[in-house]
Amino acid sequence: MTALLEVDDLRISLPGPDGPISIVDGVDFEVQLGQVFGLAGESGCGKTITALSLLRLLPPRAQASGHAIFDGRDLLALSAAELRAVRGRKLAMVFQDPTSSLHPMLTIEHQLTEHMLVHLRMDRRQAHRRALGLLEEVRIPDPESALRGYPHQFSGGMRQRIQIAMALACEPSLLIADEPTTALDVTVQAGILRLLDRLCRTSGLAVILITHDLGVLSAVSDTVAVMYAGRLVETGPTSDVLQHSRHPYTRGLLDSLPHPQAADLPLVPIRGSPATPSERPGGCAFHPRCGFALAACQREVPALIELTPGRRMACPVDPLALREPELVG
Amino acid sequence: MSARAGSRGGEERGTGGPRSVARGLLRRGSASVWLQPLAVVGMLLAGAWLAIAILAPWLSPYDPLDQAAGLFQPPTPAHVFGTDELGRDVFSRVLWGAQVSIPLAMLLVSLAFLIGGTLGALAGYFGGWVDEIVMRAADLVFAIPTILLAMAVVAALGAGLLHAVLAVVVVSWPGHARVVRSMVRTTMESDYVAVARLLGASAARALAVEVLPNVAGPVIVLAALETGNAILLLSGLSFLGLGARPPTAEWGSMVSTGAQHFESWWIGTFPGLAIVSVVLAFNFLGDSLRDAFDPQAVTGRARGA
Amino acid sequence: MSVLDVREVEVVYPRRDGVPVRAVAGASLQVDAGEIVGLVGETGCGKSSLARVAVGLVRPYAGEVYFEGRPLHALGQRSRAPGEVRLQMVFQNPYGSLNPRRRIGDQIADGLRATGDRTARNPAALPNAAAVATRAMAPRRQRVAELLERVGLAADTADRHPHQLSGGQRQRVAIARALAADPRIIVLDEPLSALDASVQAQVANLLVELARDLGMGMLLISHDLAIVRHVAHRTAVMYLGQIVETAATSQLWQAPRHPYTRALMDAIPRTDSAGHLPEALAGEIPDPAHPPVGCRFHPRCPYAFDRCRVDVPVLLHTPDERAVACWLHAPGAPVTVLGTTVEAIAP
Repeated sequence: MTALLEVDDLRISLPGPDGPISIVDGVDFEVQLGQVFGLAGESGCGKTITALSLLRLLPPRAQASGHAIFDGRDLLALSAAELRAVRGRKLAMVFQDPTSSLHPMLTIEHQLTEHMLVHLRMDRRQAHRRALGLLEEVRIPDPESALRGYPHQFSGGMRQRIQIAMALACEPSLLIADEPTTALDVTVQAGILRLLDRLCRTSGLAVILITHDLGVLSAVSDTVAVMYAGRLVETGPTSDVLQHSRHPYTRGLLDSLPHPQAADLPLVPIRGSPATPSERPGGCAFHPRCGFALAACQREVPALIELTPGRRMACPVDPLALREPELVG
Repeated sequence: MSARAGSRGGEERGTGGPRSVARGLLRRGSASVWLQPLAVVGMLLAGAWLAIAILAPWLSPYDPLDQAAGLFQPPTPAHVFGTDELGRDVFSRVLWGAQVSIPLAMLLVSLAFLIGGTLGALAGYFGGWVDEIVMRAADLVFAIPTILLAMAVVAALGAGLLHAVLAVVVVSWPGHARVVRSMVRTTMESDYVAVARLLGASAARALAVEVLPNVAGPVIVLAALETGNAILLLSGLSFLGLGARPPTAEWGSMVSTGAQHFESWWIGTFPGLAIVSVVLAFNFLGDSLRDAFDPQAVTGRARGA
Repeated sequence: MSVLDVREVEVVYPRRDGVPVRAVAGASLQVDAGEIVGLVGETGCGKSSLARVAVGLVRPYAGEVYFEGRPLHALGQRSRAPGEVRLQMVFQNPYGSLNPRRRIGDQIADGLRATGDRTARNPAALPNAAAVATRAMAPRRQRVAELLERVGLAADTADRHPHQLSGGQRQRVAIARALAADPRIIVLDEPLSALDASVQAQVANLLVELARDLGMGMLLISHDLAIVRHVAHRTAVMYLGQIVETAATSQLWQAPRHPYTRALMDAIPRTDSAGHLPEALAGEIPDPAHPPVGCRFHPRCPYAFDRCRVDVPVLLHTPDERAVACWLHAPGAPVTVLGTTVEAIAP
């Protein structure tokens, strides 16, 4: 089955005082129809800019290279006109802060129907009906009066649902969600995750879910790719990557997170802190923080090798081989 | 379990976005702000005019009041800017004009800054009726068109350069007061001021040690920009005959004379260009100062990526 | 006697349309020496307002705060009383809590000045005066270096400015500064929220160490119930201005009694959930200016019965040092519902 989106050797750099600084350093992954693909990592790892590059929303002086084949065409090579046909129509995005991505002075109806009127060439009545349907789909109570309302009248969780409704207006096949629940309370987050899950199962929507929260990915995503310092370190089916992680960074991250089984034990942090893009160490970017680092790790960038089909990992050491599987988590 | 002090940035959620990454990279060298073309031009120009203001007596080829040369002479090698209606060398008068306008403008801005800044700080610190009184007084001044109010003040005091300076101080202080007041109020809400108070500092000490140094930056920027404004106002008053009195070489009055003798274009044009270039210089300087102070400002986001 | 004793505190804000908002509607908490108490709640529950009252930044509308047995005075124009300086706070935003224009070392030294100078003036005023006086006599610079190392930073951090440090480093500086005042209690308002996951763990462990090694009490405010589990000895849960449950942390997780506590726990996505979605809580947080009548949680509670809609629950204390404000646990509650709540708890 051909993938809905195939990203190949994506590289993104930004200009710096001493020349271009590499933010994303050769990333490739696939997203299948109807699946949730999780892109995980901490700040500065490049996950957000990866997503933005697919929609060509990079800052003006950024340089991007590589391919992103979506629906048979390379997103990175589209002309402005072709891009307009894709953005918002086949490929949509939802951002972290619904407050700043909704226009404060336009009604919900206006913002919802804008896309439809432009892309789908509907008339107002059709668009209105569809907008009602969308609000119902995202479970906004009393959609009729909600349409007449303004963003500030809604809570954070509601605004995020509205943002999702806007993204779905033109029935995209791929939705990119950048930290959609990070700014929300945990009970509200649960609601949004359930919504995303339902949308995928019922309409075959594919989602790229970007987050630092591995718990969220465990609950919702089918496959996950862990990023560190602009490179992928581990990818594969979510339960496999999170229950049987093999890369030291993934392991370290899981150990530093609260987990119910080890509630009485202290958290085990990863020493040091994530390096900024301009200060990335040579060789394996994680080596200064890694408990398993070898001398070679300082010189050579580990290649992302395929352990089994669909399961990749970039570390020569493979801690899992050195430890008992029961020590996971 | 202690951790090494890691490298800067990247730990907090909030620097993940590409724009903030770009900004973080560019923020690195605040020194590079001064290498921008506008900053260089501003500094050179302002520096040159300041030098002229100080060195006018030595730089000018003729005495500005000396009426020896022929009247209405166009620019020649002997008189680079020509001569005016009384035979005085325009070039020398332009140079000496700098000695009048620039120091006075700087004095003026300092006064307005001291008065307005103090009132604004008190208003921001105390709030309540102190705030009300200061702000309503400021509103009163703002309500009247600037040049009219300045004219009214000079008319009341009598024409003359010193009175013109006072008039401009009267119309300028509210601008400073407003800025300082709002900055003081915002800064006093900051967490680090709360911390200082919790550690035992009195409110007054917190104001002096924590708030005012942080307020200084934008206020200095405002002062630099206001200098250009002050020069314009002073020249404007002199143009209207309310400021410098003849035979003082002042740009505004020279432009006024030039307007009366249009065919001798050099009389009014060169002083006019001098005004333009000085005001531009201080504006560029102010903008660069603002950019230079900007790298210090940090924006952080809680619970964000 | 608890070192920090918050009694029936209420915090009221006037809103733009004139309707007063009771951000905190009667809350009580105690923190003992060496104990970390976690206060957990979601947006709008009033935990930050309660924190500010507990540390003395703001005077409560009603209720009192006692520190070391004496009434706490909120900040006014004057400087704080010397005894009260031993109650400190660490703020949420690592970018706003340090003065951008001053050196790190100078800012930490503020805390030393707080204890040192006052001891010099009136040595008998503070307990442990001899030890404190000795510390005050040691060179300030050395003490600052000690404090920096205590929180895991290099001593030369003292010469840097805040913009040169990362978020996690700044939080450590904020903790060091609070430590400089030799506190008995530190109130921390969401100290971990703005940090990356791997760094959160570092700072969380640091807090546990400090409480243990220095016998310091802490009131840790957080929205993250999961991380509080690893840090706090006791946990209090807050909803819409009221504390709904308190217990020893392990007991809380083993058997949560309040339906809201349970909902919070069920909503947390776990890294081993393997596709199992977290439970959402029905409804929205009500407007704090117009809270529901009776139990504030009843519109969203799956177990609400008649009494919940009418009477405001009181915090019921049980002999096992737990407290819960829920009519399900009071005599007269429907037995079957009570049975369901008590038994069907899964961590």
